[in-house]
Amino acid sequence: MKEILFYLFGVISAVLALLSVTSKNVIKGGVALLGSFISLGAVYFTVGAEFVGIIQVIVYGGAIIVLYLFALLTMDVKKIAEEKVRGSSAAAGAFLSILLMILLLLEASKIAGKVKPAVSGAKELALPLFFKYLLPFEIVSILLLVATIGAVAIARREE
Amino acid sequence: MTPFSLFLLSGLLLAIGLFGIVARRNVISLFFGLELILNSANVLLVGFSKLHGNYYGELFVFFVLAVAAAEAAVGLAIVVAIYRMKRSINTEDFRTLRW
Amino acid sequence: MGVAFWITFLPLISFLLCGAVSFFRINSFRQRSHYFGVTAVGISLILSTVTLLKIGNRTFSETWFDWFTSGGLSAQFGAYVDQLTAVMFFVVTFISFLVHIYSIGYMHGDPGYDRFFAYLGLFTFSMLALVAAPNFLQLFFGWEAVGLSSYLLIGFWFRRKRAADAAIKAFLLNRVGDFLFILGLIIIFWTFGTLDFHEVFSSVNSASKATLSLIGLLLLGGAVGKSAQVPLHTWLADAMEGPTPISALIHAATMVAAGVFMIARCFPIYDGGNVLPIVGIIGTVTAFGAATVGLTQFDIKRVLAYSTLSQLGYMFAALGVGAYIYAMFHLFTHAFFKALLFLGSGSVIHAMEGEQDIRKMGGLGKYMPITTATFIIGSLALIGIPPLAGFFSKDRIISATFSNGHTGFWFFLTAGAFLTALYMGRLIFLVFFGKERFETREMKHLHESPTVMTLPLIVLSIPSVVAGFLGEWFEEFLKQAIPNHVEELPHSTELILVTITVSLALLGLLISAMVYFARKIDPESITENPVIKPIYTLIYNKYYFDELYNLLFVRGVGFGLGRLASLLDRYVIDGIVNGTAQLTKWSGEILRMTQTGVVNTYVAYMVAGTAIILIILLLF
Repeated sequence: MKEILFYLFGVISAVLALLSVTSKNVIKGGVALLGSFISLGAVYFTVGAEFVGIIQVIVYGGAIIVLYLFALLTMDVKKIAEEKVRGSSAAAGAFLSILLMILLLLEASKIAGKVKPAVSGAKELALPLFFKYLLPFEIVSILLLVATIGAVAIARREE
Repeated sequence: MTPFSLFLLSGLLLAIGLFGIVARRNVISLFFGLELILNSANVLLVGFSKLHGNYYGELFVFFVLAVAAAEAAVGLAIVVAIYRMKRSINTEDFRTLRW
Repeated sequence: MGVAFWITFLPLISFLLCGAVSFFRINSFRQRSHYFGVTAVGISLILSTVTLLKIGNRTFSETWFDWFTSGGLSAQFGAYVDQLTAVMFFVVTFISFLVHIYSIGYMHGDPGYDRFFAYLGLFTFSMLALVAAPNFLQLFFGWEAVGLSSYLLIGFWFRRKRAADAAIKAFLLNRVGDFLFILGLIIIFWTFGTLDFHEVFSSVNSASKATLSLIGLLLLGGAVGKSAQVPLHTWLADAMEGPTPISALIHAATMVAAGVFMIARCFPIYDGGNVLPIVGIIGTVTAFGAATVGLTQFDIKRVLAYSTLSQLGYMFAALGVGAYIYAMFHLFTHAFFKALLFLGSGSVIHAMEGEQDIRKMGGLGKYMPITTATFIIGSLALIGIPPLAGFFSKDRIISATFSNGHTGFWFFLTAGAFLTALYMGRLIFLVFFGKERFETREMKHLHESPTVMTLPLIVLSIPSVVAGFLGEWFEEFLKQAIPNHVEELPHSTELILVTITVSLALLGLLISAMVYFARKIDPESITENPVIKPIYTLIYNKYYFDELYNLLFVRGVGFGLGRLASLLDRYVIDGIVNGTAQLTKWSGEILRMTQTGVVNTYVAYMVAGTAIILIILLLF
């Protein structure tokens, strides 16, 4: 049962991702991306990393995509949509991305193995996060602070 | 279902994201591709976590997530500022660093 | 440091002192440089004479200092003194000493007086180092050094273009020979692993006949250049541009004899190889050919120069039939009377205020008795009139060629003797006797040369007369050092040969007297004769050797290479240089296309790079 759900949500995620990357209308692309992220969250659930899945949905879906859409509101969407996609770039992009994917998967196939019972869940994750890896955690929070201040500073209208 | 399926999903998302970055001239679409790549990294990390049976992979996902958020924020701020300047978000219009 | 060291290095000290005087312009000594030279070479002469008299049947070696050691080759400066060396020491120092004294008078007042004595010292040192050498490397050092001294002295009056050109010509032709010589040295080292005379000569049997022949041939190349044999002979006649004392010293008595000495010294190599016939042929050709040319020349020094070529040819012919000692004996006697003849001609030139053309001389006998008498003595010695020295040495060679079966050599050498008498007689009669063909105003200055110049003439005429009688002693003495492969002839045959040679000589003198003294036959009528004329023109122009070499080498190879080099320079080298610049420019223009300024392309590059790295990792 889990398997079917995994494959289902995985496919949905991939398809929506493709859609978001190729759509002419940026808003449509953004919404497609949102759907892709939520599907990924579902994938995490089926795999057994529930906490990560929840976080994925909240952060990516709830925060990042919303941020993108808000930014898009400030711009002239019609003009953006006039973008002409060059055939050469599309071909090159397709070739390179597929090549890289194949290479990486070839490498990855050497690391075969079975799923081991995972250590997952809020409690198990919180312990190392707040004890062993406290320093990176604090640094990341400072990073977020810095990012916030920086974003405000950059995007501010000069008076 | 093996960890390799997760690797496969990760590779797929990576490919799609890369395609988006290379093919699209629209900066926002570029960012979409970028987010997809970051997500593919997340999936990969979860896959490793499942492969080795410990929490390290999932733990790292948090950090990746946080950094991705920060980067998205700053990136968008820049895009807004540039749009204000040039009234365009086509990468072909920002060519001053060429020969 | 033994006696050989002092004999060799005293003249070098003279060179250094005179050189310092010249270089630093120490005016108080400039016209007195001869003191250094005469003293130094004088002491060397005394030491050489003592060595010669006291060496007996011994030999001795000295080591002076190490020159260098490199890769299995250690070069030392030293001396190996045997009977051969002792004889050469004496000859070189004796002639050098007399030339030093003579030059006091001849070079008097010349602005380069000190430089002259410096070079004389340098030459004497070089020749002695060559002769004393215990190994091939020092021999070669001396070989090159005498070549250098010869160049410096031929071009002594360097402001004269002819002299400068002659010096270069001499050096270049020498160089050709030296190149072959070096190749010979290389093969010697390659075959025997050493350049020491003792070691090489004692292991001669270990090498093949072919190798020894090759070595002998290459060394012969050097000797041909140094001793001015055909075909590297063209420089000696032009070397007469140098001051006459050095024509006497270098180009008559000593340097040109170095080739003969070298072959004699290396007799084990030549006895073991097949080269001696070639030596003989070269010698005979030179002996006869040079004699024919000497007959046609009008410059007094050139006649003597061709005579020297001819006599050297006799020495080479002697070597060619294996008569090493006879060759050395002729070298010995020839040094005396040829030096005498050259110094005598210098005396004539000095009196004639620099005139050297014999057509403008005549009847000088009554003005310069001593010069005339000594010159005649020297000439008779050269022609081979008994009982003077040349007869004994030349005749030994001629009978050796006959007794060893080389009848062809014998014929041409005998014919050469006839020609020798002819041209020397012509010289004497045209210069010292007959009508005075010079301007009257020069008659006032015409007088015998000062004693400094006539004394060496007198001194040299003594051995020219008596040295022949030393033949038996000479042969016994040198037999301890080098062999003399001569078949014994029945006494009657010898007598016949001697009679033929002497009669031809006398006949030559008679004919020259008739033509040039009694004016019974007009020389012009002979040369203008339509049958004779083409032959005469050929001989007069020295068989066109100079013209041939000029065409082949100077114009052909020299200019040809020059043109080739200029083409190479213009098209290949400039092409490469300009081409590189063009390439850089072009590649730059292509490569800058990659900097598009669009982010997408940069990302594509990054991905491509990652892919390549992954592919490489996968494959290897």
